[in-house]
This record gives sequence, C-alpha cells and structure tokens, in this order.
Amino acid sequence: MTVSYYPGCSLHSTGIEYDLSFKAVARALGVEMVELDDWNCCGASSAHGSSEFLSLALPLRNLVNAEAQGLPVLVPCAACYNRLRVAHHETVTGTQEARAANDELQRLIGQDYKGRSRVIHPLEFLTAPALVESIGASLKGGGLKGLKVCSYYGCLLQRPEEAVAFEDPDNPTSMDRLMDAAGAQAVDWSYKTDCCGAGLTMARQDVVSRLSTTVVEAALEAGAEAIVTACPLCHANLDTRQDPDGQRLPVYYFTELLGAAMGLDDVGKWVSKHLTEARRPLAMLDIL
Amino acid sequence: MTIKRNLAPGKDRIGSVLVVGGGIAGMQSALDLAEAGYLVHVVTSESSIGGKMVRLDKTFPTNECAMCLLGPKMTDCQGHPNIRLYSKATLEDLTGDSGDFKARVRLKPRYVDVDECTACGDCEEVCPVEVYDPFNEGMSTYKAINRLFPQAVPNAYMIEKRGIAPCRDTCPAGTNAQGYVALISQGKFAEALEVVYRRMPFPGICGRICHHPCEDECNRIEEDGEPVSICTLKRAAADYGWEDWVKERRQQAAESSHDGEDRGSVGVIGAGPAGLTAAYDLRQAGFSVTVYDGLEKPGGMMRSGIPRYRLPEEIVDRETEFILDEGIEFIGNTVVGQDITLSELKDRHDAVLIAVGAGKSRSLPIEGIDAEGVFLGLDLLKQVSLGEEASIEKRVVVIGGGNVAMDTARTALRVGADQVTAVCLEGRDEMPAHEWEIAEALDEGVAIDPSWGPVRIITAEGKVTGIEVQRCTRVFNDEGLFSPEFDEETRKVIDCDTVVVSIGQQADLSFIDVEDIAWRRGPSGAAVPLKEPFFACGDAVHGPSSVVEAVAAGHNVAEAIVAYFDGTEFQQENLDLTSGRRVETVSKLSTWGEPRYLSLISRDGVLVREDLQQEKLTPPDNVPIDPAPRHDQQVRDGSDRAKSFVEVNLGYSREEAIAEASRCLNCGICSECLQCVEACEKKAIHHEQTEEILELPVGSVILAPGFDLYDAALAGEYGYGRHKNVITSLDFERLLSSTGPTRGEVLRPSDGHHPERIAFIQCVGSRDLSCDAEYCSSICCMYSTKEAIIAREHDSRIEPTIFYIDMRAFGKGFDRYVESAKAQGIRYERAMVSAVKENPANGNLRLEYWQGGEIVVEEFDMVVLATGVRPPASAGELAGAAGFELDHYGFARTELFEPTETTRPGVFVAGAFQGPRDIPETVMNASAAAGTAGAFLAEVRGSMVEPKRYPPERDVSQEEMRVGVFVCHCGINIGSIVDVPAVVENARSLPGVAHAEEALYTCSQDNLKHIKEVIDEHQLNRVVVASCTIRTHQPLFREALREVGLNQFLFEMANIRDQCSWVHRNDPAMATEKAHDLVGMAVAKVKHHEPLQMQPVPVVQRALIIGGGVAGISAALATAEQGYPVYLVEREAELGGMARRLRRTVGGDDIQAFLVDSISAVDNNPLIEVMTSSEIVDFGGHAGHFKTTIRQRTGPEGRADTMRELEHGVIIVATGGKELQPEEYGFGQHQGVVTNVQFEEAMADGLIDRPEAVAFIQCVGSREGEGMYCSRTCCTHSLKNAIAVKEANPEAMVYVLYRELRSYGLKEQYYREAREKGVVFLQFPDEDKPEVSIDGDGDLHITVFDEATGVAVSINPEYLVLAAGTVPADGSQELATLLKVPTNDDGFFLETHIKLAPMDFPSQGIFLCGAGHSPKFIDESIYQAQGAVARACTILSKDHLMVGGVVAVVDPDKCAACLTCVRVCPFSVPKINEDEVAEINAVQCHGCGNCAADCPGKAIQLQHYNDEQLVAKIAGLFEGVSD
Repeated sequence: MTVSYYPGCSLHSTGIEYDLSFKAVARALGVEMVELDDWNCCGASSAHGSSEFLSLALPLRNLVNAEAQGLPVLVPCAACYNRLRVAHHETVTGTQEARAANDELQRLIGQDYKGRSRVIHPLEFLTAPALVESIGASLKGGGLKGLKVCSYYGCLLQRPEEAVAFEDPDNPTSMDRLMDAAGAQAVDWSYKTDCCGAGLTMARQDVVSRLSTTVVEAALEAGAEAIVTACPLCHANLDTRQDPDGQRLPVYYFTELLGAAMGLDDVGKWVSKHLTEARRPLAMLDIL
Repeated sequence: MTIKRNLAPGKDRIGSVLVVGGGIAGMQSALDLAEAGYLVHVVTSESSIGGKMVRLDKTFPTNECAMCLLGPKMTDCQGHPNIRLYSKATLEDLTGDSGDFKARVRLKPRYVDVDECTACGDCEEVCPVEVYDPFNEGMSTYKAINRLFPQAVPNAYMIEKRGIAPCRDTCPAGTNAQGYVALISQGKFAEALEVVYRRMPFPGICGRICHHPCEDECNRIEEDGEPVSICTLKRAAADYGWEDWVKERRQQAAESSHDGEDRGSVGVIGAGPAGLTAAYDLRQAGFSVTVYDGLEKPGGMMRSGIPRYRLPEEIVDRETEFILDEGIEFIGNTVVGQDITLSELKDRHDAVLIAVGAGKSRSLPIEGIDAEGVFLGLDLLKQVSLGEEASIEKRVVVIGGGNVAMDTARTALRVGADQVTAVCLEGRDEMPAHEWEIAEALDEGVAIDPSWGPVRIITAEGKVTGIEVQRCTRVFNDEGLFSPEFDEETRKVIDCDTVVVSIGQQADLSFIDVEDIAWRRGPSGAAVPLKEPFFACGDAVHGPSSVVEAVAAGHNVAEAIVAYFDGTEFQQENLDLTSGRRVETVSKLSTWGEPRYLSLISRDGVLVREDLQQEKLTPPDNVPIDPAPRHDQQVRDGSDRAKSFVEVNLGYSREEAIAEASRCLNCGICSECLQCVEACEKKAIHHEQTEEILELPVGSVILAPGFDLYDAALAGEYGYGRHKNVITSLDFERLLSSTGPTRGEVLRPSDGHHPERIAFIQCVGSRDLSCDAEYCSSICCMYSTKEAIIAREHDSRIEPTIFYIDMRAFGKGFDRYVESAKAQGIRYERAMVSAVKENPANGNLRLEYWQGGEIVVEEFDMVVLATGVRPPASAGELAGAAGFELDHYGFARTELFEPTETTRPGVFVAGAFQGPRDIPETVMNASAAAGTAGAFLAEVRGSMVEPKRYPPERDVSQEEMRVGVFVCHCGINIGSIVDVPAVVENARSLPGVAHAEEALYTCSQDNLKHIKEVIDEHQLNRVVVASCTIRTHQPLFREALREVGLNQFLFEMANIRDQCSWVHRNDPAMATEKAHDLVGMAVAKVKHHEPLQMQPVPVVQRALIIGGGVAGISAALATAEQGYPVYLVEREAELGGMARRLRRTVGGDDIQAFLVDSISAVDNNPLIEVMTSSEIVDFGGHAGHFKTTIRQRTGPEGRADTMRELEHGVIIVATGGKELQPEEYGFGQHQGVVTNVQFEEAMADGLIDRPEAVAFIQCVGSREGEGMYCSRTCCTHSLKNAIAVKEANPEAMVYVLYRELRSYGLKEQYYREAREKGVVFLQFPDEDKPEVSIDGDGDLHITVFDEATGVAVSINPEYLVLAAGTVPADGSQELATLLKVPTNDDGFFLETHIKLAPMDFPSQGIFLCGAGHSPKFIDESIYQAQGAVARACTILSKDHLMVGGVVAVVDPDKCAACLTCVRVCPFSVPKINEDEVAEINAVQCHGCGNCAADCPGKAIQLQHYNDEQLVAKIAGLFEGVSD
C-alpha cells in the first residue's frame, strides 16, 4: 500500500519524534509513504490568523500537488490536517472565498484545485480494521499491557465537524481503539476534545496554562498513567506546562506508543525528546 | 374564511372517521366525534392508547397525576359504543376522496386475544424472557409477554417477537434452542425438555454428541467471543428434567389416549435416529408402527457407532425405550433381506419406510488391505460398543481425518493400544473432524499425522507390520471437489501392527428386492426408492450425516407418509408436498408449529429440503446483557479417562446450567417456549397469529400521531449515553413516577444514591439551528419547573437548578407557577451550559457556563436534559400513506386560518404533529379537528352507528325476591386465595338467593352469555357479581341485564379481588371470610334496589354564542357547518373584535382580508342570526334547554332597547380580550409613546413612515404586581413591528427591551429574523425597569440596564412602543356572574379543568373559547372556537339528553329551604323554587351525594345509594342478610 505523506513544518522541527515514530510504525505495518512533492506551509497559526486569502491559498497549493500525485495524503499534525481539510471542504462546497483563492492560484501557478484529493488523518487511516488487526498481531510481548492512558484528541481534529470530522466529534474513539489494540487500557474521560490553548501560546500564557493544566489534572483524576496525543501543538503544551512540583504525567504521540508496543527500534530516542520524563514508564513495561 | 371542505354534490359520504394516534389528541378527537354520532376508528401503533402523557408523572401547573387524569379518558374510549380501537396498527394507505375514503390499516399480531385476556398476569409470571421496558425508558425490565403499563387500554397482554433466533433457525431439526435455554435459565428443566422434545426425540443423546451448528450462529459470540453452550444445556434439560417430564407425559397420555385410533400400518426398516423419529411422529399421528432392525436393541448408529465414553448406553436405552413405549412394535435381530424380504414387508404393512442409514464402512483398494490386523472403522466401533472382543494390538494406525476416525482412534486407546496415530490426507486445518473432537483425541494421547495418503499396508506372514504413506500435496481441486494429488517422492513407513480404515461410510441397499422401484441418484450419491408405498429417509438417502440431520429427515418423511395416507396431492407422478401446506403464509414472526425446513420431494423424485431460513437475526438491542464468560462443563482428566469407557464429558450442575443459560441474548425476544399458553386459563394466547389488513370506509381522517423527543445523545457536549447520571427529562419523569423503575424514589442511575444537586439544562435540541430545530419546543421550561418542584416534594434535600435561556412561561397560570417554584428555593440560572464533564471519582457532573463575566465550573450530582420536541418518526410514512404535505421541520403543514386542515381535503391534524404544544392546546386542537372532521359529514351523522335495541323491561315489582350470585375466580387472582366454592355455597344459603355459581372469568364473553341464560332460566330479578371493581366492569354486567330485559340498576358488585384477595394474600382463610361478608352485604343491598329509569329531556338544537370576535365568528361558522342554527351576540355595533385593529400576522397573513371573508360568510349563512349592539341580561334553564334574554340597543345611537328571549341548547362564551391601557413609560404624555396595536395601525396606514429609531418595552402591565401573568402575544407582536420597521428602513435603530423573550413554538424564527435584520435586544432585570423621560425639547430618553453586558444603556428613540398586555374584555365579570361560571384571579374565565377540559365549564352545556380564556393568537382562538363547537356538538347532536338514575331527589315535604344543599353542591345545581323548597334538576345533578349527606332534614336522598339501601348493606355485615 502506498500513500502520500505531508509532514508540515512542526514534524520537521519541534515534533520530529511524531514524524519519526509515525514513519517507523507505517513501515512496520507495510505501508509505503511518499512525501508530498514540493509541499509548503499549511497556513496554520500565523497565516490563517492574519490573512483569509493565505489561510486558503497555502493549503490549496498543497492540495493541487496532492492531486497531481494522485495518492491519498496522510497528515499527522492536527493543525495541518485541519487547514487542508477546511480548504478542501470550502472548495467542494464552493464558498466565495475558496473560489477567489483558487482563481488567484490559477493565475500564480497555472493550476487550481479540482477537489479530488483525499486528506486523511493517521488516526483514521490506522483504525482501518485490517491495520488494527495487524497492530494487534505484531505486539512485542503484551505490548502496553498494564498501561492506563487518556487519549487526548484536542480541538482541531474533529472540528468544524462538517469539514474535518471522521468520527463522533464529541466522543472520538479512534485513538482509544488503537491504544486498546496496542494492549493499553484507554480510560474514558470527559476532556478528550477540550482545547489545550495552543493557539494562544505566545499571546496569552495565562490562558494556555489554565487550559492545559485542566487537561492534565483531569487525566490524573481519571487514573491515567500517560496522556496520548495526535497533535504537535497539544503535545508541546501538555508536555511543557506541567507543574514541576506536582504529580507529572508523560505525554506521548500515539505513534510513539504504537511503536513501543510493537517493539520498534528508536522508541527511546523519540521519547527522550520530551520534557516530562517519558522513558521510565515504557522501561517499566519492559518494552523499551 | 373559505370553507373548502364542501364536496361535489351528489357524492356519498360516510359517517365514520379514522383517528390515527392514541395519545391525548387522538382520544379527545375520538370521544368528541363518537359523542356527536360518528363511528370512530382509532388506530395506534402502540399496544395501548395513552401516548406520551401517560408516561408523565405529574402535569403542570396543577401538579396533578397524569395517569389519574388520563385513566378515565382511556376507559371512556374503550367503553364507548361508537369507538373501535386498533392497537399495534398503522395506516398503510388512504384512497378515495374527502367524504368517501378507503383506509387500509395494517394490524400487527399481538398474539393475545384482546377480548379474552383479563390481564391477570399469569403469563407474565411464567415468561422466561426479560426485555427493557420502553414505558420506563429502558430503566427497568418487563417480560416478552407484557402490558405497556398496568392501566393499559386495551388492558390486555401482547407478545414481543422479533423472529426466529439464529440457533433455532440453524438447527436442522428446528429444535427451539432459544426456548429451552430460556427455560433452563429459570431452572425449569422439565419444561425445557418438553420444548426440546417438540422437534428432538433424543435430547440426552444430542445433548452429548450433536455437532451443534446452532452454537456457530449464536449472537453471544459478538458479545464476549464465545457462544452459549446450547448443546450441553440440552443435556442439562435431559439430565435434570427427564423424570418429571416423563411423569407428566405419561399422565397426559393416560388422560387423552388415542389407542383407539389406527390410521394404517407402517413398517420402518432401521431403528436409528431417522427411523425412530419417523416412527414416533407416525405413532403420534395415529398409525400403528413396527420397526425392524438388525441389532437386538434399537438405536442404530447411536448404539453401535458412537463410543460409550461419549454416549453412555443407558442414555440410548432410556431415550429409545421411551419412544417405543409410545406403542411402537420393535422387532430386533431381524435383517431385512436375510430374515425377511422387502416384498414381505410390503404385504405386511400399508407403507414401508426405508431408514437403514449408512452403516457400511468404505474400504481402500490397496495392497495388504485383507491382512490380519486391518479393521474397518465402523466394524471396530460396533464390536466394542456391543461388547464383543476387539483384537487390537499395541501400535495402531487409523486412516482418516473425520469424526469416525477420531472415535476409532480413541476407542483403540481404550481397548489396549499404546500408541495410536491418525493419518489423513487432509492438512491439519482441513480435517473434516470437528475441532473439539480432534482436541479431545489429542488430549488423550492420539498422535495426528496429517497430509499423508496410504500407499500399501506392509505385512509379514499375513499380519500387519506397518503402513507406507506418501505426502498428499492437495486434497481438493479448484472446484472444491475431492481429488487428491500426491508427491510420490516423499514417502515414509509407519511401523504398526493394527490398521483401522475410517474413511467414510455408505448405505447397504442390497436387500431391495422389489422390482420397478424407480431408482435415482440423490444429491449425495445415495439412491431413493420411489414406488408406492415405499419411502426413504436419513443417511440412506443423502449419505452419512449427523443425528440431528437424521431426526430432521425422520420428521419430514413422516409428514410425507401422513400426506400419502390422507391422499393430499400426493401422487407417484407429482410428489410435491408443497401443495396444501401454508408455504406463503409462513410469516417470519409466526412460525410456531411450522417445521423449519420444508420437506419437498421434487419432480425428479429426489427428496430434498427447501430452506425456509430467514435473514439471520442480529442481537436485540432491548435486552439486558450481563458480561459473562462461557461456563465449560466438567471434563474427566485426559490421561485418566483414556483407559476406560466412562463418560468423558460430565455436563453441568443445575447451577452451572442456569448460569450458562442466563448468557442467552434472547435474539427472537419471545422464545416461543409456550409457557404462557400453558399458564393462560382463558386460552387467550395464540402464537400463530399473523398480520391482518383491514379496509375501513371513512368519511374523514384525523392525524394525531403526537411527537418524538430529541435524541439527547446527539447533543454530545452533554454526554448523554456516556455519563450515567445525565438523563433526559422523560427518564426523570419515570424516576418520579410511582409506577416507574424506582417507584418514585429519585435515585442516581450510576450508584443508586439520592442526588441532592440536580441541574436541569433547557433547550436540548430546541432553539438550535445546528440540529434542525430552530423552533422552541414550548413545553420544556414548564415541565422542568414541574420536575424540579416534584423532585423536591419527593425528597426535600434536593436542590434543583434550572439553566435556561428564556423562561417561557407563556401559558395560563404558568408565571405564577414559576414564581412559586422560586419561592420554594428552586434556583433559576440564566446561562447556556457549554459542556458537561464527568468526575471519574464519584460520577458527579461538572457544568461549565458563563456567568458574571467568567466561566464557572459547578458540580452537580445529576443532570436532567430538557429534550425538545421532534416531529414523530412516523411522519414521513404517514404523509406518504395519507397523502398530505409536511412543513420543512417535518410537522404537518397547515394554514394559519385553518389550523386543523392538512393539504389533503378531508384529512385533518391534531396535537403536537403540527408543532410543539402543551396538553390544553392539544386538547383544544383535537376537539377542533373533531369538529372540522365531523362538520362536513353532518348530513350522515348517526348513519354508521346503530342505536342498540333492548327487549322490553320485565316488571319485577310483584315478583318474589330471586337474587342470583356469580362469583369469579379471576383465573387464579381470586381463586388461589379465596375459597370460591365456599363463597358460592355460603351465598346460596342467604335468604332471597335463588341461584349461585362460580366462574373462572365472570366477565368473559361466553360467561356473560351464560349469565343471561341463567337469569332467564331461574327468573332472577336481582343480580350480584362478586369479582373485581365497578370502575371497569359494572357497565359490562349492567349491559347484560339490559339485554335480558332486567332493569340495569337491579345489580350490585362485590369487589372480592382488589379489596380482598389482592390485599390479603397471606391469609386465605380470613380473605374467604371477608369475601363472605362482602357478598352478603351486596346481597343485602341489592334486595333493596329499585328499577330506576333514565328520562329523556329534549334538546333545543341551537347554540348561543356570546362575542363576535374571531373566536365567536369561527364558532358560529363551525356550528352552522354542523347544521345547527346559531345566535351570535356581540356588544359592539360590528363584528370583528380585537382583530379589527390588527393588520397582518407575524407570518404576513392578511388579517383584514380574513375578517372580511369571515364576516361575509356569517352574514350570508342562513343558519346564523347575528345580533350586534346586544348584551345578555338574564339567563336560566339547563343544558339542552337554556333561556337567555338579550337586550339589543336599537334606534339612533342605540338609545332604544329591544328585549328578546332566546331558547338554545348550549352556550359558547367567546368574549375575548383587549389591549391594556398603559399607565407608565410616558404613555399619554408624549405622542411618540404608543402601544403595539397603535404602532401597527400607524405603520400600516402610513402615519409613520421610515422611522429612524424605535424602542420597544416589553411586559407593560404583564408579569408584575397583580397581573402576574404573561400576555403571550406581546413578544411576537413586538418582533412583528420591529421587523416591519427594519423593512421600512433598514438603517433604523431598533431596540427591544425585554425580560424574557417568549417567541415560543415556530415563532422562534421571527426572533432570529429580527436579530439578523439588526434589531438590538437588551434584557433588563425584573427589578430594574427601564426609565423613560421626556426632555425639554420633547425628546424621549430611555435608560436601561443591560444584563448581558452589565452596563446601563441610554437610548433616544423617535418612537417608544409599549408591548401592552391583554386583559379580559369589558363586561366579562358581569357575564360570569350571570352565567354562574368562574373566573380566575386575572379575570379570565376559568375552565373545568386546565389540562383536559380547556373549553368546558363545570356547568354542563356552557363552553369557552378565545382570549376570554387567556391571551392568545388568532390561530389559537380559531382552533379553540372550533374545539368548543365540537364539545357543544356532543349535546347538540342529540335529540334528547338522558337524565336521572343516580341523582339526588328532594322530598319537598321535609325540605326547610335551609340552603345547605345550595351551598354544598359543587355544581350549583340545587335551587329554591317557587314553592320555596329545594329543587335539584336531574339534568344537572352529577350524583356526587354531597347534598344528601349534608341535608339536616334528611329531605334529600341519592337514588341507588339511599339510606334504606346503605343501612341494609351495613346490616348485611353485622347482622347478616335479612329476609
């Protein structure tokens, strides 16, 4: 199986371990990933907060490239995924803004987006029944057996519902299912889709701090031993803003935990990048 | 008003109406129509009428019990002679035209005869299947045979069936696995065995050795991976149920012997499972049967082929003997072909069945096959089973990979082999043996060496020394056929001294000596004999198979033989058995009694089976499922067991069996175990019922399917379905209800604790564009308020908080209700809750909301979601079936001025199906629909209802006292506690009793007939029935008396069930004693009963309508349409009322055009006499005949008066309301300060053009001080005017200053439209009203505190529009006094009952509609008027009112005119007449007896309950019955 892959800027920088772990897991499951040709920034954060045109034109250019490549494109970063899906949605539903951006694109690069690309988040991709089965079959030992995790989806993965959601936006379960397949125990909690405040990281540290602390406290309260994320912004926020004096929770990308459960190499390298100690829990499970 | 209901002339109309829906709307419509002389068919898809309202605990704003309110209405519907109820029914199709429709109605089977069922509950008691109870929103369970609720109407049970469970569907023999598993779960082993035996005469055998295909299909696998252990449970049924069951069977056989019957003689060759099954069936069918077998004992392969360690011999003995004991002759040790020929058998019997099985092992054509030490598998098994010596050596190779090979290998171990290897062609995962057989063999030490094919057997001196095998590379070809391929290079030799060939079997048919048998190859290579009278079945026909397949074949061939004897379509040439069988009518849901497979002998003569399988049933979603792993039966240890023939599998203990059986999901719901049939003494249960289609001729149709509630799970942010303590309002109603899952105790679902902090969240699925429900659901604010109040009544620790957007208490008395809730400590928090999170530690819920400028997180113990109103799920189908249009939400589309008419003429709508509304509005609306649906059928009124004729009444006055006493067992309800024969005996001894007898059910139709015969035969002149309650059953017995010519009042009931057997269950002796007393009292009283006659009083079929506004005009037109003359009286000089000043509705409808049309319709209607400038000055008479004096101002400027007396049968009060004259906010001091009505007029007339800045102030004169009521229309009126301003000048600044914006129902869209147009809404606090001042320049200044922003806003509008409230019209109070009808604190007329009688006054014959009832919109006035007319027609349609009977009568000689009766009568009936004594008009008397009790002079007696009768009754208790 061959698919296209859009890493986006985060996965080449702060979220490199998300990038590496996802690629490793895909490889182990027999999925060939081809990086999207000549990709550019998706337009999240700075661009989409400041220019409506760029918020559409930047993802549209990526979609044009994906269309040319002719493969479904996997987008791990929740913000990139969100931008690309929204641009796609606006194009196919024909909003005035999308039409304008597409016309401009045609003028600038000689091509516009026809609405034929399929943008898929790895959570949706990996929860295909055959892949879930594959994961279950390739666990090292008991995989994550004994580890209680809270799956944290954040706000961007499923909202706005009509443009991006691939499951129940109020109660997504894809990550829980993957964690269960990897042997962990996914704990139900009510804060799966709360906002971590990432968008305000620079502007309002006080707000971000309150939001991300709420999420970590809720996970602790639910009895989790780790938080699992699918977004580099969420990860950075939760990982870096924990109370240094309080009880701390390791925060993983779901791909890291899948890799660990499957006994892949380099897991130690990935999780060593986290600020909150993340090696020890895996070492205790004897899978590191 | 356009009346479009007229039909083409000459068209026949039908005097009956179809009502779809059994809720309050449907019932109200039906009752009004039935009373007005139409035949009404009520169709409801539920099993009972009652709708949503019966599910409610209490009703707002009076906190009355919903069930208590509705119960009598439901009973009225059931008992009304003009109403036919169809439960579990849907409208399929409506053809024809208005006035002459054909309605096709589909009746789903209830499987219980509604007329016969007495709802005693015996069936429910024995039913083994539990289902979630939808009436309690799934918070409790009831049985598969159930009543929706205890007070259900019809009060009869029904059975819920989904179809045939996959296990049963898969069983070749059709054994009802779900049925017996269900019974085992209840510990009923013998009953379970009875279920097994219906299709499976070898329960203990198949319970051990069946390959149980049923378990592969078991839906439990999806639940926890493993199926229910159905096979072993069957064994448990046989293990623990056998003795009881045999005893029962033998007893039954003794009671109903069929020995005398002999339909012919059948010889059966072969006593295996197929032959014995057929023999058994044929014996049951009355044939004499002889079975021949080569072995000494019966059982065939079950005895000789299955090793003992799997199937002990005593089980085979027991089960085969049982069959033979049914009267079957068995001739053993007889090999047909050797000891007797087939031809001889033919001569001996009328038919011969060949069921010889496939008992011959196949051999191998290889070298050494004849050597010493080579055995054939079946021969070895047979030898061992029959106890013969088997010369097995130490090292054994078994060739074969099937079940017989495994049996052989394991048997070899047991007869001395040390080492057993099974060699087979197939790979390990291709082996045909069942996995568990292989596992057990491996367990015991058998080695399996797969993928080898035998080449030769190596011998030395004629004895086996080894076997050479070669690698088998593939067994089956691409078509899946057996075609082995080998790698001849790869070979090996296995040393051994015994080889057993177990590679399959075939039938030995060499005995067949009859010529001319047409032999044809069957599907599996076997041959079928086909010559009369020969039959064949089982393995001999379709090759080696399992016991259960053989049983199936035996059943089928037995049917074929029976058909042959019956001569039903059974000929040599055409052996098609389908003829004469109900193939087409085999409904998936009613297959009881039908074989699962239909046996067919096809044209080419091959016996095949046609599969009747349905689509596999999925697991049901309404049964409780407890996670539980499969219980495995105990197994003897492998090493230990392999040396002996003791049974390996040990089965279940009783407890294990019950636990395992409890894992069953009951996929079919009803398991058809038939315990209910057994339990029902009335034989009212019919599992074979099928659907029916009715064609009903009807003149018109009313649709009242009600509404659904929003699926709270869709509002994901509140976590319904995820967080256990988040429930819906309807769930909460059930929690509050005493008939609910907790019997009225408010408990948290998660832990059963008492919640204290309960949050109510409003607008869940309402006022929300994101869920396609822009509208307000109208009822939620009030029902949440009610639930909060009632919750506190149940448990004062509860602290409710209601989170709301606008508190929409817009109905009559609602604001006062909310104020009372606040006074009781209920907290109202104006906030939208954004999320509900669960605290994992304790299941509490955290609500997040915005308050006072910040996000608040507050924890509650429980959350109740006020789910909104949705169109009914059936709306689309109904629209398709009845051919009318829906609006874009999915409600029925109606026009504003014709609020009950759908888009199809002759089809009307009532209740919430045309949009959210509460109960009183639903009732008004339903009556209106009844009125309009009946009106255009007026000329055929009464044509479909035959008045019943009774024989002339017998004069009993001169007869001696002859009392008949009938005592009821009520099934076991009375009979199991009270000694009924003793009560009868005792009754017989009472003086005056001429006859006494008992009955199982006194009320059953056949018994009522019997009672009538007994009355005739014994010339009884008084009747006592001792049974249940007069509330439900007295009318039935009184009717019986009338039908046999006895006066109905010569009857008395003794309630020995509700008041005796039910309450004294623990003391039968004393209960019997009490029953004697109760019967004695009834006899004593009935002897003093007198015949009472109802008197007809003629009805003046004419109406008086007071008030000529929209309501009065609508009422007048509707009455005239019904064919009755009308006086329409109006105070003003012109008709039109308030509507004269209104121009358009908020939706744009032209009110003036409507008014002009309507008034001209009134003027042109010859039946309507209009009297303007007229007032009522005097009033008298009674329902059916009132006399009213009118003063009409005539002459110039109305100076002269004309007085006129009118006679009429009914009055409709439609006096209306008026806009209040404001006294604040500068009204009257500034010309820019106007009321909404004034503003509308000025805008419409162009007096105000392009206003620049307009402010509206709401609640002027409403909801404060003495006028603590909402005027209902002002918010919408302001929206309408605000939108009009914006339309005239989009730049205009428009402000609406409000307290709560009450644009309820579908009007919510105008609130949005106004906001979208830029109207600014500012909410001010109740206690901080806006301040208005006028400055020196004459400019208006308003200062208002805006709650949302917390700042004071200053506005300088050009116009200030005051939303002035509505008050009753002038003269209302005087009219109330004159008519003696009540008004409420606000001066509006007060109806009899705020919920269920919103158009009736307590005084009969006086009705109410329009704004005089309470403020309302034009469409609401129209339908209330039409409803009032429908109510009035229940009187107008009758020539006479029947009065008398149980009424109070005054003895004028004793009356002192003390006025006591006048004061105590709740209905103001007694009057002091011209003779200065009290007079009680029988027409008006309700028979309550208050006056009789209070009269100090004993001048008043209540007939039928007079002193003499009651004293006699009491004497009957204390002194015994006198002569």
